[in-house]
Amino acid sequence: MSRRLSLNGRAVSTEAPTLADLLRAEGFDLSGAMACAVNQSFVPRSQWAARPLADGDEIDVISPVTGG
Amino acid sequence: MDDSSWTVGGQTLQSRLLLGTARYPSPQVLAHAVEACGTQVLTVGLRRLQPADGGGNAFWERVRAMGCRLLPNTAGCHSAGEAVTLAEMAREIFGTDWIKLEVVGDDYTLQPDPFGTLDAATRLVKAGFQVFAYTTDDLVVAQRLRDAGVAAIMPWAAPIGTGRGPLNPHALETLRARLPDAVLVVDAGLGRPSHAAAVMEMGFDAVLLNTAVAEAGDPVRMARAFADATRAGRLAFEATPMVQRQAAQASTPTVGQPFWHAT
Repeated sequence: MSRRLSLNGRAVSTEAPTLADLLRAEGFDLSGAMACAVNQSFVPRSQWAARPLADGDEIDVISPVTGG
Repeated sequence: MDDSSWTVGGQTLQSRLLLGTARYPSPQVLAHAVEACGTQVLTVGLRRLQPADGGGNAFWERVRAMGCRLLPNTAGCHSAGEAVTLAEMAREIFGTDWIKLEVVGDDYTLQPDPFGTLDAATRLVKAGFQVFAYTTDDLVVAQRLRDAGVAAIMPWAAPIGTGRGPLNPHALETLRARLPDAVLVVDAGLGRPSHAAAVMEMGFDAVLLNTAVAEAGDPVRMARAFADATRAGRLAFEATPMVQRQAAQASTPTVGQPFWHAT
């Protein structure tokens, strides 16, 4: 079943059933220094594989950058 | 003798200069600046990752190699909820409970939102974070942040990135006087080493800066200058500066003055 999501502000259509599946399908290196939130709620890395996705979910994937 | 160590967020540090990692001409210049000033704490940010960026490891590995404690920030957050979520994400990535809490209230001045900051600070302290709260020089807000249990209260000297130095020295002096036991770090608005020395002379525990070093003509030399000024200001505070007077008072004894005459 295809779902329409927002991934880092970009509209995405995906068959991926879980957050981990989506990240892999979109080309992310899951071992990288990054963290995820779904609908502005933090999802710990340990839950990525079990976190189901639904139509309209807003997913943010972040990583370290320079900062003051 | 010269034990200038201080404790914040459960850690004892020797350097009283916290340094940001943004806006340097190159990663190499940043690394040299870090070495030159001897900082032990670096601030870092978090932004959306694109798959082509390589898993977010490049910057992370460079900054980790510098051997400093990392203080991730919530820069750009406009609500307590956003800041709390970003802090949770930062804790997982960096493996630290330290968080530099920033909740922006005004996009033009980047003035922190005191209400959102206090709300987020309260929630983060309950969640086990060591909160370094960026705030204005408002005394009552600082008192509320202290009551919330933050690790450090970090008033601005001037708006972020302006380099204007302490715009309201009286307010900063009042914060120090009214919060003698709180950890107070001046964050934002310092442009020159003399600014850092001035607030350290007031008794602030440390300074946090970024642009003043990163955008200097020679960031490495400026990093060293800020480190020297920060140490000098702290030493001066510990030495208790003299009391100012309105009228001149000769320092050379007047007794025995040759050619003395009354006019």
